[in-house]
Amino acid sequence: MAKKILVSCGTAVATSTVVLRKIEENLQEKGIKADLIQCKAAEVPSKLDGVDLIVTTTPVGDVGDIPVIQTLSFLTGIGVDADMEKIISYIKE
Amino acid sequence: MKIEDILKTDCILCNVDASDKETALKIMAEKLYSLGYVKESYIQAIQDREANYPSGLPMEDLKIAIPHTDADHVNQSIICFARLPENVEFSVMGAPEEKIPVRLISMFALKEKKKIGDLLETLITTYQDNEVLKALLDAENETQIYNILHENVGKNLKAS
Repeated sequence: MAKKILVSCGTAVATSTVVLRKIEENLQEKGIKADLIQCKAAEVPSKLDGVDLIVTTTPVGDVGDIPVIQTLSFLTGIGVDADMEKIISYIKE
Repeated sequence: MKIEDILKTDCILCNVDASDKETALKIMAEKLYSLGYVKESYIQAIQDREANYPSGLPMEDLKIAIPHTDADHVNQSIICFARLPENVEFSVMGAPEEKIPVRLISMFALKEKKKIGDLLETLITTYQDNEVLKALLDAENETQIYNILHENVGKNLKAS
């Protein structure tokens, strides 16, 4: 089953849309499937059901044991490869 | 969407004298309104949007902001580009608590709501190249800025 990644930003309007697309494109290039869902950072603690990984531009609240990658790399272009490696290490079977 | 349809020299401002982002956004939005690209409501809407959903991109070296607002306020799609002689402070997109100094502002007004994500991604991809930002800062006039944007935004713009 495809892993579930929650993509969050402060607002869940434009920013997480862009971040989500960038992650999706990178995963597609590598032939990796995942379910990506976007939301506001403040909503993250209420949307954890079945989530394997959280990628966020801004701090999120208490998420228990679920790994969190906080990064602006998908907006700035700096460190994308390192973040993609991290993302893949969390979602591969 | 073709670059020629959304990039015009009359919406490129290479010396916007503004001491804060509100003034810069006002000058740019009023320019678009005076040329008929946006409705009068756009002028306030762009301020509200920036206050709630900031658009500064915290690149490693040079920074840029990419403000926009809802399609309802737009008559005709257009990019408005401004360069400022001094930095003004913008909050960071996706991380509003962080502030960055900005001299380049790449505003847009899009009539088709569903294309906003595409254009945002195109602009962000373009501006992730520090050489492009440097060229925009060093450009001598509006025509040079136009040519840089035409080439670099144009090549990243999806054909759809």
